[in-house]
Amino acid sequence: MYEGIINGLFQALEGWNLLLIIFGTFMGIIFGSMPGLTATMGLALLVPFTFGMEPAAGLIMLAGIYVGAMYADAIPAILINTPGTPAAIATTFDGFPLAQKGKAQQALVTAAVASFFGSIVANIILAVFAEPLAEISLKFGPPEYFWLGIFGLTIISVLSSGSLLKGYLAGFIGLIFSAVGMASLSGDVRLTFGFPELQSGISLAGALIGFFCLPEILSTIIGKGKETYSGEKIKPSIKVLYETYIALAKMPFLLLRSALIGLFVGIAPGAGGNIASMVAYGEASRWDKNPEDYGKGTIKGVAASEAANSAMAPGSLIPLLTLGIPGSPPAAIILGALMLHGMQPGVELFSTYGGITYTFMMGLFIAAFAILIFGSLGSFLFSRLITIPARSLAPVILLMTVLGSYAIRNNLLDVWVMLLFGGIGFFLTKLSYHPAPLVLGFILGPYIEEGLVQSTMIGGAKGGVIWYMISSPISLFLIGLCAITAFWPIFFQAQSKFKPQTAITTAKGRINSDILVGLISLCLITVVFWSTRGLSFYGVIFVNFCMFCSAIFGLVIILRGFVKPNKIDLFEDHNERNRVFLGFLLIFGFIILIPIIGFLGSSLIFIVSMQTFLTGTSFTLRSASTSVGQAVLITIVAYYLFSMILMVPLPSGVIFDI
Amino acid sequence: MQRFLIVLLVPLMFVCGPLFADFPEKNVTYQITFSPGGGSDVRARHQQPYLEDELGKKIVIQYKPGAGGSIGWANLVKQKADGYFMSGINIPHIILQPLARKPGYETEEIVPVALFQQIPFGLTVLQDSPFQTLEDLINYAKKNPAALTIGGSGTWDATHIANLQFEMMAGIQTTYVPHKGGKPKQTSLLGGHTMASWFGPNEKMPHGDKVRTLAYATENPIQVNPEVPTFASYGYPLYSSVYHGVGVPKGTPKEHIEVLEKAFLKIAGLDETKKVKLKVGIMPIALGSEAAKKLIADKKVAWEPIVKKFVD
Repeated sequence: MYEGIINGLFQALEGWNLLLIIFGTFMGIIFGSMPGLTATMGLALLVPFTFGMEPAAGLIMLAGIYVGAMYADAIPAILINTPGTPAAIATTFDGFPLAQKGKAQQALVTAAVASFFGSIVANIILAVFAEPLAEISLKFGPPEYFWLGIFGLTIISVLSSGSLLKGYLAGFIGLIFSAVGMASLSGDVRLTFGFPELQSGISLAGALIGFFCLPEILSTIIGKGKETYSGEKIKPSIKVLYETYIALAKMPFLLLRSALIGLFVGIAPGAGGNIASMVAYGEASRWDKNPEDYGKGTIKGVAASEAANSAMAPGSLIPLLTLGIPGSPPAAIILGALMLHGMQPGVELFSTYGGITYTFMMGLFIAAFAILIFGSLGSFLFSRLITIPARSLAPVILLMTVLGSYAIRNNLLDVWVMLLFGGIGFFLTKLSYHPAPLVLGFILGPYIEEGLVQSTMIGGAKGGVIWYMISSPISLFLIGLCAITAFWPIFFQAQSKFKPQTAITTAKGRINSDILVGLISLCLITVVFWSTRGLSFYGVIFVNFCMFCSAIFGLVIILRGFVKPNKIDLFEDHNERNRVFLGFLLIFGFIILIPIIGFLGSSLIFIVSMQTFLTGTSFTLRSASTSVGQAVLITIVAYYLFSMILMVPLPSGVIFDI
Repeated sequence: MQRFLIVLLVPLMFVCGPLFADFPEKNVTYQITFSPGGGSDVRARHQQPYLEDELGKKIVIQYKPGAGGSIGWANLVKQKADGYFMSGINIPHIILQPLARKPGYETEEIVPVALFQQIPFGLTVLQDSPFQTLEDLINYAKKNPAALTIGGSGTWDATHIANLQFEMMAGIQTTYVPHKGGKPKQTSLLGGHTMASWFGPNEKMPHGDKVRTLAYATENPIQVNPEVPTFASYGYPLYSSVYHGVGVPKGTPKEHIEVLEKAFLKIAGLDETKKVKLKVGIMPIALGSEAAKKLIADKKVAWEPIVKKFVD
């Protein structure tokens, strides 16, 4: 085996292959860093090009893309509070506050170094222990999936909201959102409200962009009229780079612990990858001497999250390479590429195709070095992006959010859902409810449902559902972790230390946030209850479970609202309110125009009008002409990228058919 | 008179012209109803260069995944029926989905162009399972009603129907456990979470000696696993396979369908294509449009009563 590894290393370092890894990593960084583009899309786009290549060459290019994208999802998380993939949600907790303090470069370099480290650790373990680890991944059955999902919700509730109750309520509402569409196991069509497109559910990109990116733009750029994304001046320098390296070198335990957590949680197919970084982040803050730093902008938080999510990528490849079962959507595409080259993952991969397999694994290893270099150098460029005046940057980001949410499934309804979520996310944040548990609930929903429904079936066949769900060692371990995570802050009186970034000071306002959120949740539950009558038992069991739990949490929260009122004003003044509504209307109008006059025309109108709106009183003829120039340029670039390169059929309007 | 003929013929030529023009005149869209990188995508990517050679135009691959493929098929039947838009189709999906729910299309709205591969299903257990033969498994199920858990790829898909038919033929009751597709189904069996599972030979192959197939639901033993008996040899006439092909919307001109059919059948007949498929455990076939239509009609007649019995 060691011979195989060494041979693989030499193969991967060979001139042409090395070039492909670097190219792949670069492409991965581009796909990972643009909100709306994903590692999965990047891989799918480049798979056909590997057709004409040697199998090893093609696969290591894909390795580069995967590794690059797993690092790059931190870039938008840090700069504009939008995780590039669900795995980067925990990166936003500290990355974005850092950028706000003018320390974007520190955060970006930390992400690069931590990703590099996590990747290297995980790759070494992957190369040596792939097969025994694959055995562990098989131990995960339906009950374990269920508890892993609940564990994920518990962690993020404690981390992001500071209050388990608020987090759980948001999380269970997120689970209900995930139930929209065709039930994956029973085939029941649920909560589509007559839209056939909703049969495939709500798109993940729409939820990520809607809940993270839009509320931030609506509240700071549009509402408060902030000039740039980062409040402070950002001056990237070699000195910062050097200092960040030194600071990170002083936390080897944090990095190692996070990488190991990422790897092990990543082995659990599917659900694991999404929560690995949360678990690592949670542990980092728990064992730190100064847990109060977390959430306010510390590189420790970014390091924990990024080391874990980059270690997760090789983790998800373990079941793929050894069993032929992909642990994540990008891994599924790599499986496709393997099959395209006539290789069958599984028992034969390490024997018959050992040469290619080890070259691929070493490709992952080298891609980690490419990340370190690209990330460190790129930090100079990326950190400057958010010093671009908001009136120029925000319209581009908004255009990308619309295109990104459209492009995943070529579906305009997804864009509307994104906008709706943006509105919900905006109000939730204002009411001091963090959207992260809701989004994570939405992401974990399918896994929790699968676990619950299959447990009911298999447990029924075995003669006891509850016993089946709590009797396995891994289930018991996960239940224990849930309890520790939930009650740790209470036992150690440290609850105040887990201050979330959105915990707005309890200013005297007019709206009692808990009562409002509780009541809206109860209304939602009522609607869901009425729309899901008449479904089959297995189609409704998960929805009932979510409704039951969220109704209880909703009632308790309303009660708390009476006992301990938390009164909040949504807007500081009329001016802010009007700006937010007008900004929202502009985006609304844009989406309405798309099917009527086509993508090109509506984007031009939108960018010009948004820029004019953000420029406000300092509007001159000169600024107007610059704005038109920018609009034309941006629209053409976006059109070329999506229509020509990504082959997304952009809508051409009814009136102008371009 | 001559002038009169010209006056009559010229417009006629304009009307008939397009009919005689060579199809295709522009790029053809090939829709994939599952995610990029999945089996359908890999298949289409493999065909793409050959198709482009054969048709002389570019093939644009477009994804419309979701709801087990039904989002894409609902999109297919809404397209202009001119042969420039085709979509990957799966049998039994396009038959069972409209029977079990309202997926936004009807089976008859899709005209098959060709079917090029077949994946039969077999009842598969772990190597160390106590079930050595199909009879062992049936005897266990008879003694312990509903205690035998059998995994499948989904609800109202080929494996689900196969399980229902198997239960009726053998007079047993099992607990069918659906999964989110073929991969999780494999993990479940390998981890011992289900006791048996419906596997295609391509799903069995990666696991080597870890799993055994007790019987295949085919008429004859299959080429890639000839030692495994068939259900029919035990006296249960159970036939269950997934077929992959391409289809176009109803109303597409016959001439255009023929051009596409010829191209797909030619690719399916290539030795290279067959070798690639057999290597991963997939059975290459080459059924033309008419034969595919008949297959779909026959299967629909056989399955309709089974689905109706449980859905209503």
